[in-house]
Amino acid sequence: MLKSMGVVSLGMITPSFAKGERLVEPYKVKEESITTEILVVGGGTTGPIAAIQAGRAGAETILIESGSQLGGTTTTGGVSFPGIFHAWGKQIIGGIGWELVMDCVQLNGDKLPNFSKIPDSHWKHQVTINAPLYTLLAEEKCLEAGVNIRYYETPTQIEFKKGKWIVETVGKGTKTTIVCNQIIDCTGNALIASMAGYDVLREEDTQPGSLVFRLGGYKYDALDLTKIPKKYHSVLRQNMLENSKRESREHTYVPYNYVYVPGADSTTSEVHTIANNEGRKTLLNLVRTLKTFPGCENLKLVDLKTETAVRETYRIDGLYKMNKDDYTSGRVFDDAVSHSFYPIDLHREGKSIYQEFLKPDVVASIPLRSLIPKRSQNFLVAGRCVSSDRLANSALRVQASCMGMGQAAAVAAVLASKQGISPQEVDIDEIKALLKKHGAIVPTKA
Amino acid sequence: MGKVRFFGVVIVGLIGLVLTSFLQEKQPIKYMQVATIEPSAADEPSIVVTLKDSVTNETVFLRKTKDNIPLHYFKKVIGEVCDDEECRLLDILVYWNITGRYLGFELPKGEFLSKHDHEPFSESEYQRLHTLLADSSIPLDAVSFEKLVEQPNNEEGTVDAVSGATSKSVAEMVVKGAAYTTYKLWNIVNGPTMDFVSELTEKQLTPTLIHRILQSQDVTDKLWSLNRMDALNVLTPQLEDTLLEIISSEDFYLSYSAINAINAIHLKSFELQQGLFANYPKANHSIQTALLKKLIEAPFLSSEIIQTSRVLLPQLNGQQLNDLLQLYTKHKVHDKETYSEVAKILKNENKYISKKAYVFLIGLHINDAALMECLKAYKN
Repeated sequence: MLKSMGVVSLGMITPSFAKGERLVEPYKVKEESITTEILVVGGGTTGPIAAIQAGRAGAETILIESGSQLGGTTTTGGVSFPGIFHAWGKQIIGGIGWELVMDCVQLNGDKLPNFSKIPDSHWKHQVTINAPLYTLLAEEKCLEAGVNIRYYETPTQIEFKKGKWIVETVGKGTKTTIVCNQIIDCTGNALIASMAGYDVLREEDTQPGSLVFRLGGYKYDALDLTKIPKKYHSVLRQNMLENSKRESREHTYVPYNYVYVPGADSTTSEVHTIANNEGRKTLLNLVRTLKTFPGCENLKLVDLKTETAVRETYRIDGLYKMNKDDYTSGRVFDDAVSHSFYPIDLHREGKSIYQEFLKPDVVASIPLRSLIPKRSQNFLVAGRCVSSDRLANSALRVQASCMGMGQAAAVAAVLASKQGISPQEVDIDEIKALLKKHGAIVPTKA
Repeated sequence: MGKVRFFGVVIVGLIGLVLTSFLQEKQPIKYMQVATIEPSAADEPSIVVTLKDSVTNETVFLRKTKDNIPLHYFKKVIGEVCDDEECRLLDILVYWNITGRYLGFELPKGEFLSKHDHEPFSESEYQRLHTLLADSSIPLDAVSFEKLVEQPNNEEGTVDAVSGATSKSVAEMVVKGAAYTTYKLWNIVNGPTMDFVSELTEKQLTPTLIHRILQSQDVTDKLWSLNRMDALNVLTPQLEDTLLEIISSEDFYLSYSAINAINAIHLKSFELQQGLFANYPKANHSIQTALLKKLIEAPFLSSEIIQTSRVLLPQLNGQQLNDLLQLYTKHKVHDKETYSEVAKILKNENKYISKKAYVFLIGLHINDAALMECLKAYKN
């Protein structure tokens, strides 16, 4: 009838295209199967270091990351002051993590802290870096090492068959089967270890996460603190991150702040969403409250990091579980592959921090066995889910230590892959030698 | 009750008198740190020069040797340290090293420091004051004294990686009972005069003086000196040796700073270039990178370095190879011996390494049949 009315033209039933336009196929998930020698899961603080090392050692490497950029806690979480790489006047963690930090410092025209001087506070040896630059450099180094980075992907299933891991992943429009020789779990949550059926542990009460932000629009020194409730004083004072650009005197600072997010967990989309929701809600309430105080009328939220950074979730049950005494005594294991230097640093219920500092000249070491889950094959973890008790973990979880673990795990994985065995079967001296060749600092007994 | 109070006052007064006369008998109270330059017998005798601090408009004295080697600066400080007008006036000499680093303090004979309750400082309190004054990282310049004393003590402790200019508690930053004395002296010691004297020394810098400062036992003095090396157009052989010695030390930061102290003009020296590269094989990887980056700045590259580095090529990891090939590229190193050695790396089974060699060789645009063959084979 319409046709008979002459209102339907050819253009109305067939889409008309402007120049260059075309009709596309309906959305379809791309399914494929790919193979690699090493699969690194998690592109946070540890994963990129592991992936770069594996690539540089000549292994075919895939890195999958559920977010959109590398660096995790250091970049997305806003803790852009990694440490600690130096202790008691010496460098104790080097290799690829330090190379990245140095490249970042140099490209940004920053200065390093004076590592020759033993600081009165450990954090003074953490290195302030430009986080966006770190993201770019980490990605560049991965690509240069031939690493196949797959953003927006997460594993859903894993199976060990005939000496190979078969990992199913999903991403935006992708469903991929990755077949690999060795896996390095750098998720920070022991996600793949758990998926593979290895034991993972969790404390009943975990440390809170932190949502990092910065405030501006007021002058702390001009505030009449007698008119502001005491519990807000430290928030308004803000933490001061030692600025990388120093003047003649050492202490120039930039403000930095955070709200605690109790029970923050990043293991699944669901719990990480909750952690983000909670952090953002707390912060919004805080901003609204602060603006009611005299002198804070023009207070502004100057910066907010993308997501809540997480301190503690799961740890593997490894071939060796590092304990607090191992850590604080600076025990050097026969299979020590990396150092760690940070105080025991447990954030308790978000209200106080238990800290225990290492004695002069003491530096902790990490054994390879703590990176290998019990009863596992062709599998390593690196990062904060290292096998350790809670107090040791509260120190091991920091960025430099995680970077050191990442590089060590990758070397073990590459050698295991080349030799067709599991990492725990590789000659430890061979691992140490290759680590040294790639610039890592391997602990030695006095 | 009145009698008791009267006798109490008399007893306290007598004790004070005895203590004062006891102190008067003693040598002046003096606390000194390790000096940047300890005058040697050859330096004696010294002379004192009077200077005007252009920032504070106060008089500063410079003690130097007769042959013009500055030894230290000092200043007389006199002033109130409490508000009840009953305190002893502060009367003290404050000393700075020539680098601006705090050196020490000295009280005139018979003088002593007292606390808020007029009690004289004890030995441990003098020592604590001396330690606090020497710590330029204490944030006592970040707040006014009024803010400082009303500041609550540490609330929640520090969190990982952060703390603050004002997060230290007052107790950690001052001598108990002498907050204002500490605050005042710390701000004098670490205030504008510190920069003023440092700048004065900068104007007197010679290779000899820099060399003497580099001999200081204090690492901040060494760093001060390294950070000002740029002012020298030529390094004496003695200075070059000292620099190379520092570069080879285990102290990463000092070594790194010494490398960065060298500029392109200094690198005209063959000896310095070779000395730098001699450190390469045994240096930590980060220092290795810094050494090669420094040599990139050189106006030319010593042929000995080219020969020595060529031998290292087969054993380098990908990153080291990358750094060395960048050095070759910058200095247009494309002699046959070198590129033939690099061409051997094309056969390395590590793709990351062989690709570095390929990228370098392709960039040379050299018409050599054998090399072309190697590149073709690599591509295939």
